[in-house]
Amino acid sequence: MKLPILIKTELSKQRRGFIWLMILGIPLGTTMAMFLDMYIRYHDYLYVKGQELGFTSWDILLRENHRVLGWGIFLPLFIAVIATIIHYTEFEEDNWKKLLTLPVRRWEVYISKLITIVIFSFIMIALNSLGLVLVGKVIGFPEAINYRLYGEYILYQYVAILGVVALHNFLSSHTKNVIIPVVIGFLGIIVAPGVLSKNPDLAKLIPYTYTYYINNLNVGNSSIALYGGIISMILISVVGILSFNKKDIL
Amino acid sequence: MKKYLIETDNLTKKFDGFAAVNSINLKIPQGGIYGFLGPNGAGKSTTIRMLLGLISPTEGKAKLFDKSIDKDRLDILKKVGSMVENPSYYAHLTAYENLNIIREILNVEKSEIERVLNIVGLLEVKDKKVKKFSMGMKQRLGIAQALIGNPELLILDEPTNGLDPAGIREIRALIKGLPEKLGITVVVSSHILSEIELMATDVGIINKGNLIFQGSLEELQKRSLAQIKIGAEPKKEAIDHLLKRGYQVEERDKYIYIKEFSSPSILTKELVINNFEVYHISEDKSNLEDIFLDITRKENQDEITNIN
Repeated sequence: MKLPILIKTELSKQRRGFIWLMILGIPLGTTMAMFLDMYIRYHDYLYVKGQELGFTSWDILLRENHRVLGWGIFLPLFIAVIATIIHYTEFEEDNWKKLLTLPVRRWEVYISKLITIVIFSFIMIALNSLGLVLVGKVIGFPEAINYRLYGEYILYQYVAILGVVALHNFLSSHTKNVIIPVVIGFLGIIVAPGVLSKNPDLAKLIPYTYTYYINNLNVGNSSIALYGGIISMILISVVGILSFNKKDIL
Repeated sequence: MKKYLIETDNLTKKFDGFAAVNSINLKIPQGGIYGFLGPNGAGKSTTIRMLLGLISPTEGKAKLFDKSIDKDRLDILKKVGSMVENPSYYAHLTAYENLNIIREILNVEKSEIERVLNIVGLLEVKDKKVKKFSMGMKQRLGIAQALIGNPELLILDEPTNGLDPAGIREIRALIKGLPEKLGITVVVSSHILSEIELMATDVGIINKGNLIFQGSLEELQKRSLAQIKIGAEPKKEAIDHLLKRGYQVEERDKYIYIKEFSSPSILTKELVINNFEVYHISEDKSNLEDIFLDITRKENQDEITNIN
């Protein structure tokens, strides 16, 4: 079983890589954006509006992040870029042929890539939420922080993204052209809200929509985020492994 | 009986109906250096990729160490080091970090990295990022990657590609020493005959997907039968006479060429006694390059004939 070693080597391949700039830079950007949002609108508008609707300041901050800033909308696209970077590391200097002539099982290589995408995505999601906590503290919210709310928010995201991770692991492993999976990811986030509003049943089958169900922030029924993420990850990964096992490395 | 480390049985790879490799039966003996020779696009890399399990054959089988690459891929690859076409590397990492990735996957000692860096002469630049390496250094890193874990078989696809003459000489000397120093069987592919001639003990020639020669370098050299080049007048009558006497005669550039002969003196005597004026006689021995070109040309002509 070489899977743990393969994951370790996957992480070491990203040492000094662009991916870290993205993983750290995007949450830093969202933290700064949310700080500005709260700094400008919290005392005069958001807090008052939240009181009317029965939301705490921490609820408002989460909603602002997920819906107004669009973290829930753009998260699948960020994951698409992470997957592309991880796979491009192999395509860049024809490293697939070296990696796959080592005594490793192809499915283990495929899964190690999937887990690496998950690890980087998890870090980015956690940093986004940590940034929100920091904003709340700096602005000085009167209520105590609701750790459960933020813990659930992180965990729901972790599960909801699994389908997109699996889909982009599959797409990025099959094409050297980095534009294609990123464009598909972009189309995914464009199409998702339209399908959600016009055909909610069909939306349940599209992994790009699962971040909308998190904590009932956009649409109801958080369980769709959980089941959808897990089931789509399993199904897409099975197809991906079968395809990757047969793939000719030219 | 000769032990073969690699054997293929009608190994074929077709891409959209086009046979890139066509029913080849490789027999690569253990020990020594096997030169896999052929022009660009002949099917060398496709064959090597099939041997390493990177692509699946359309038909046929490949066996390495008496095991099928289809069924025992992992067992086989534990004993094989390879570099296919260009060296592979993570440019933003150092040479040491690149080799460490392979070392960890192969689960060998850390000292192995310094050992292979020393063999290829990159020890002093081990902490330099590979993107700053010259082509020759990258090529040597590729060989170092292939040597990690002390493989029994080393497959190097065009290892001197893109190198300057000094680099070619270095890599050649390095490869040449491997069987003797480390007991490794080496398969080297190249489109440059002189490269193979200077390194290999055995040779396989592939052209347009077909294996058109396989044997020892000596066997290939034996094909360089000397021809007798004769200048005689009247030429047409001289040719008729020699044909009648059972010689294989070819007429080229005003001269008569005899492939099978007893000796130049007998031929001279034969012609002079029969009143032909002999003004030139010499032995015309083709070198290995001529043989290679001759073999590949024949293959191309056969193909044209078949099409017609």
